[in-house]
Amino acid sequence: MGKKRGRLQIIFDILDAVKNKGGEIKPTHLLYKSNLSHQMMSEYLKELISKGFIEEKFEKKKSKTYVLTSRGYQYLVEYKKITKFVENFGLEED
Amino acid sequence: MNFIIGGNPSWFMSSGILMELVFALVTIMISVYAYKIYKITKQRNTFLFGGAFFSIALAYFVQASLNFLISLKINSKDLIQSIAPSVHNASIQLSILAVFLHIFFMITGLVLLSYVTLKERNHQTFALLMIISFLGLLFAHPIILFFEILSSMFLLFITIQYYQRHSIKGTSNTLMIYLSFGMLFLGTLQLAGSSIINTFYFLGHLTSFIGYLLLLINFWRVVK
Repeated sequence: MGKKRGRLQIIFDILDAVKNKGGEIKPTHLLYKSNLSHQMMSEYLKELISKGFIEEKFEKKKSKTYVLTSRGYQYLVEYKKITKFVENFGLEED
Repeated sequence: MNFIIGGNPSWFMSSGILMELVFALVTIMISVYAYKIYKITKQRNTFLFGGAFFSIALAYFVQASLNFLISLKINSKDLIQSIAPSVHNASIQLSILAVFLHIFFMITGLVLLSYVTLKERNHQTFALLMIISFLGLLFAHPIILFFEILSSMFLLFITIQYYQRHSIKGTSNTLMIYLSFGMLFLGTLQLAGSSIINTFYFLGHLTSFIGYLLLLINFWRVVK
């Protein structure tokens, strides 16, 4: 059994999944790629939208998609430094 | 009259000020980076951590400024009397103000830092720590000695928390953080003894300098 992913790691995985799909992904694909339950996924998406990491996009007759924002890209770039800093100083949050 | 540098040997005056400025610089760098992380992640812990280091940086800046003014032998009496002509013993009052600002910023920073390292925490815990600390300082005599001992106790607590963390994680980074706070604890404890033996003022600064240097190395390894 693999090691339990931390909160920052899950956020990274979600954003990375969006990035790997060209910065825009359908909810079903994201659910599959992020390896989370539907409920957990919804909670994380709500948080990521409120923090401005991703945005919801609605198109006529098409299903909803999630788009990676510039802040989301910034998180992906800074992720390693952020986790190192947070881990070193014991600033992890559940 | 000098309240902060009670046992400061005159030969160490300039070097001491320089070290305090280095402490302020290191703490402000960590504070700014923590705030930058907060802006990205919106995690409360990093905000509090950044706030703690910012407060400590202000404390060192106030300390260095006052010591610098004293070293230049600037007549602070003229300065304050131009602002508030009715104030008597102005130079003493300016020193007292600076000392209290230093104490306020340092204790606030250390309380915040201790609070962040707690596993279980809430607003009441933080309020309790602040009230006990400042109430103790209000009735303490001599206040500087109590302040140095109180700061040492907070740093000892933080060191223990980081030691426990290191014993679980066991990485070179966690070791460096634990050692740096350990050095800061020892440095502050030595400063408490400076009112008795002057050399402790120099030793306290030197030990703290090693502590901040370790923090800076660790910080550099993160951001490089």
